[in-house]
Amino acid sequence: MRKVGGEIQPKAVLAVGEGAKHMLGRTPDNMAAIRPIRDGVVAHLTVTEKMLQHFFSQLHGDSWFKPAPRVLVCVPCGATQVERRAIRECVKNAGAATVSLMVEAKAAAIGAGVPISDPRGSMILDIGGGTSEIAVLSLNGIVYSNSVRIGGDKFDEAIVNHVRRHYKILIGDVTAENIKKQIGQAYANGESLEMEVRGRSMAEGIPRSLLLRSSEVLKALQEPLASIVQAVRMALEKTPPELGADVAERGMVLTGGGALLSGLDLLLKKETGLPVIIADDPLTCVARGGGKYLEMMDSYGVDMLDSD
Amino acid sequence: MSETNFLPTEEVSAGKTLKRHRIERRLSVEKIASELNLTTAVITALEADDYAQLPEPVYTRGYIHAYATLLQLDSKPLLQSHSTATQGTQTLRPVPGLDVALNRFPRKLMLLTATVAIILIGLALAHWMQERTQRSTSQTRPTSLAVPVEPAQPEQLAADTVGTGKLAAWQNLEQRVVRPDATWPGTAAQDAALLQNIDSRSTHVADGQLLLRFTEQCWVEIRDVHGQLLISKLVEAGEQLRIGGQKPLSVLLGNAQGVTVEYAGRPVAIKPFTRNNIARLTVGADDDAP
Repeated sequence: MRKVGGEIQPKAVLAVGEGAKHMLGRTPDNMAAIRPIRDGVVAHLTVTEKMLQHFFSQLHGDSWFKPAPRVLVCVPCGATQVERRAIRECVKNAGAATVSLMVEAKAAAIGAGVPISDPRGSMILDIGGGTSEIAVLSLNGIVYSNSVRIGGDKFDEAIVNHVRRHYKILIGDVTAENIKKQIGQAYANGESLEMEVRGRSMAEGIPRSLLLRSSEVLKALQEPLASIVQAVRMALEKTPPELGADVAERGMVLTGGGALLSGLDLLLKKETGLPVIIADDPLTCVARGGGKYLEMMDSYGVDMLDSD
Repeated sequence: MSETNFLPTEEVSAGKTLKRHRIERRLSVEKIASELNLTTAVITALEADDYAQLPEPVYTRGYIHAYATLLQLDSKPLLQSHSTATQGTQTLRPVPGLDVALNRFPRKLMLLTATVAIILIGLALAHWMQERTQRSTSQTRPTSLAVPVEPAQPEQLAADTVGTGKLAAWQNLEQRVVRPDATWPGTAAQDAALLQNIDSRSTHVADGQLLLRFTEQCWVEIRDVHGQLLISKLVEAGEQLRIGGQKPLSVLLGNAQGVTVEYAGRPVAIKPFTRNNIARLTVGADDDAP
């Protein structure tokens, strides 16, 4: 995204998605790499619009006739009415024919294949980039849901802070994410991994490298992980006993990119005493669930899942 | 190339593999169950590949993955065998209820209904537009075919009698309206000549001529076989209208109860063609009038 003056005005979009991610923190003065959605809400309206327009144009490729898409947006259950309205407006302006909103946890459950239509309690924990959603679902509805603003970004931030505090070295967000993916651990399982990390020494001002161990990352991640465990405990506490029994019998399903953090299932298993299941392909659960729901909407009508 | 490559690959049974490795490691079912926070019944069912006793695939796959990880095995081949065993499970459906039938109004039928409605609306619009354009063109065309003969304008009548050219043109008109009680001021000779002229046309109903007698005010619209508008006007009560044209003539009467119709000297029953007091009929389609 090119920057015009001091204000960020989307004059020309250079890259979107993965391509733009590689530019994060590496842009010259006349460009800006922007994350338009932060903590599960739209942080930059015009840039989000541009990004969506780019995605919509990708849908139809070079075809001459490009119909406006129906769009289903998954929002955190804690999103306020103002945030929801902003999302609606933004997607409409980007050229969507209709916009429906759906709670993220529900989409994740559908995508994971959790039988939410049954009269049985199913617990789902979706750890996304900005937020973690925890919900208990039954009969296509949400019995309990909670959203904590802790996700992959907070994990990265915790790693950056840890390295800065203990080694006096500054590392970027992308490096922190790589550390998390390669040697990140949520539970000590006896396995020890190492990784060489490069950053800028705060004392000397020159680039330095250090060897980071997985046990240190585990330590760094303790704080955000504790908040997630706390949220899960709270959810179990507030779940009605019948549904709680169902959850205890079958377990809780983990989705979202956070579910890929090594040992997270073991941590939750130990902390809650429940069976913990990592869904197949957890990263795409929400998207797949949303897609399934759109298909179901065609055959059963919009109100099937009481989305708003 | 080794010989084993030609052998059919042995199908991996998730339950049997897990059981074998558990026994090799001298672990009890209870121990595994407590490690995985599951019941012994679930572990037994898993080892027996008895998926009917187990919850939905998402859970079962999670159990297999956790069990395999606990035994330090690669879970991928085991999960693959499970996915071939259980395929096509529907996990999302509407909650069954009394109102499900209402929500399940077939979308295809809805689309069809909408399409038909749109087509009908389009046709109606096209018809209306056509009517409108025809009406406007007929209004611009000189209405020389239907001339009501008004009792007024004695000077003009007198002048007409004098100007024989004009009179001839007037006599050549194909339709005319005659008010029976019309009085004609002017000289007796002129009047007599005129009346005779009119009488010769009005009293004798020629073949293929339509005679309309109005007892009430009525809108009349008549077209000939080519769809050309012969007359389109509001006729007052007590008037008569005589129309000739290339048959069959299509007739529209806005107030059917106030009109009696005769064609070729024979009365025409308009009641069968009347709806909401508006008659639409075609006369002279064949020699036997309707």
